Amino acid sequence: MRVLSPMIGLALLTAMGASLAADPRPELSKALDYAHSMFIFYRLDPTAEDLAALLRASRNIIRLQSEREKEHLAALVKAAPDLKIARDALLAGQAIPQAVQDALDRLSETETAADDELHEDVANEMVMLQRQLSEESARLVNWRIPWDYPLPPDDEANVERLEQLAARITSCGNMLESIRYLNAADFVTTRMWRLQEFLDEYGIEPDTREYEEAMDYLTRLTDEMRVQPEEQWPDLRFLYAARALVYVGGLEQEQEEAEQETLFGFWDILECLSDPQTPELLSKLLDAMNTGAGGGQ
Amino acid sequence: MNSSRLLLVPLLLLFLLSGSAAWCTPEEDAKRLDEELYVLDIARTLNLTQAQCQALIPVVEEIQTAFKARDAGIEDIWKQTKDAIEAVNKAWETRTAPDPTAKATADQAEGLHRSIIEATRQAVDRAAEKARAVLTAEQRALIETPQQAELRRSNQAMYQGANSLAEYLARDIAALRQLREEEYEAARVALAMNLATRVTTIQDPGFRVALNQALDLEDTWRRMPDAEFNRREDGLPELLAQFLQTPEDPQVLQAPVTLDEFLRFLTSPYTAELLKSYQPSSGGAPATPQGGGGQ
Repeated sequence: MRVLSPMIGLALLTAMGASLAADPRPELSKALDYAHSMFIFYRLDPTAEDLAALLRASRNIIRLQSEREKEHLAALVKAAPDLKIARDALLAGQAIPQAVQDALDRLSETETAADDELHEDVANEMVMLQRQLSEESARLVNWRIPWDYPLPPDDEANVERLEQLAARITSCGNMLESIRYLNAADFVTTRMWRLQEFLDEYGIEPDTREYEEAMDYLTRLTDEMRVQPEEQWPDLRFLYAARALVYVGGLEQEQEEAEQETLFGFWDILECLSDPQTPELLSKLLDAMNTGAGGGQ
Repeated sequence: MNSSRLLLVPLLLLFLLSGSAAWCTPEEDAKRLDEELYVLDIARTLNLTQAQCQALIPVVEEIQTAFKARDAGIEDIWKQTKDAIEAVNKAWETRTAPDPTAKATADQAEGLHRSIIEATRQAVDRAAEKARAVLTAEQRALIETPQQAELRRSNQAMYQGANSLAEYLARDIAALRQLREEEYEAARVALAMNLATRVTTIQDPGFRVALNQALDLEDTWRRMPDAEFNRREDGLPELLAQFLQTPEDPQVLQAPVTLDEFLRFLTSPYTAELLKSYQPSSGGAPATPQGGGGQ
């Protein structure tokens, strides 16, 4: 068992460039990062309001990271006697005293919880930034939080997703049930437009091969469904609904958002905004824009 | 200058050289302790023997040498190109086109910087291979290989941070417990369908069997009392892996030391010093030594 669970949060903080101590990057790396951030900001083609929003986000994110690092260091300083006992014990090939191990486990737990909170706060800043940026700039960025951003699994979001899935199944089941009980005369005419509405809901364009095939599949499915014995219908209703949804892709666990063409990802923007040089850079860019400097880009 | 002042200079030098720790802030001291504990914990997890520690020392020193060469190389480039890079950045700040010669120099510096970083990464990878060769097969099995790390990352990217499809679906089974009854009745069929379609096709005669098994599995875990669920939840991914007929090699996904952790162990500036005085707890390395020296 690890003495302290890896402080991923701290590693991330360091990677993001926030540090109470002097910036550890070599001057060349800093200058190149500065140029890279400038390149990204220009490519976003920002208005003055956009630059102001980026500046606010950068200051907030750096402040959050800096406060967290201060807090983390304070926790380590407080735990230093235990850390030393544990270190000396391991170095000498001895077991860490149980009381010390317990204290370090507690430290690890509280630090992980604080890191989680930081990552959530930073992610919220990114969400706010997305809302504040002009549509033209915001759409150049894929704001989806990437899998390797260290947010803990969101149990609530999972439940919400399943609730939405249940709602889709229920709605589809209701649609199928309404077709099942149509009288023979209505069945011929009404079934088709109900199925058309359903396909439209899932973005399947009319007059395409996909549409024709889906309509063919659903026609056969509803034919089959209508002759099922009444006593079995309650059990079969959701099954038919699920089969219909499988066909149109509505059963996917995650409805993939339509992939839009973006220039930058979440990490590109977050790394720029976390760089301690960025607030000064954005202030300069804002000044240059307000004074109408240059124009050579 | 009187004699007492003359005496002060060597005393001060001696103090500086002998007790650098005295000049560290409490924060720096604590950070160092934390990092040292991390390194020692990996050494203990790997159950390193004294001989292996000795064999690892030159490997980790090699990494520190590569880091020094990297820093010196970067510093050299900076000295030669500082003016050009700063001129380019300054021009861009005011939205003016930079001088073409300065721009060319800055671009070249960026290329060199990238090459140095890449060369250092390769040096670390080579050192990591040497370090693995020092370990026994059993010890090596405790560390994620680059291929395993790649598989884990690609799974995590595909399954929203979960290490495997089974782990990902296990989150759904757990979430089913939170749904209201009418929601569950609808969602259970959809999820079971999702599970069954990963085992076979809808057209397959075995589909109905797979679907019913998935429904049974969901119902069982939904009805399970909280205490039992909490106790058995960790085993759910494995159960799902069996259902999906994709039982993962536990070493692939659950190596006690990830590749990143192993690299941190090797690249920490404190590792060499710690390995010099590290006392293995008892018994030494497990199993038969394979490959590499230091056994």
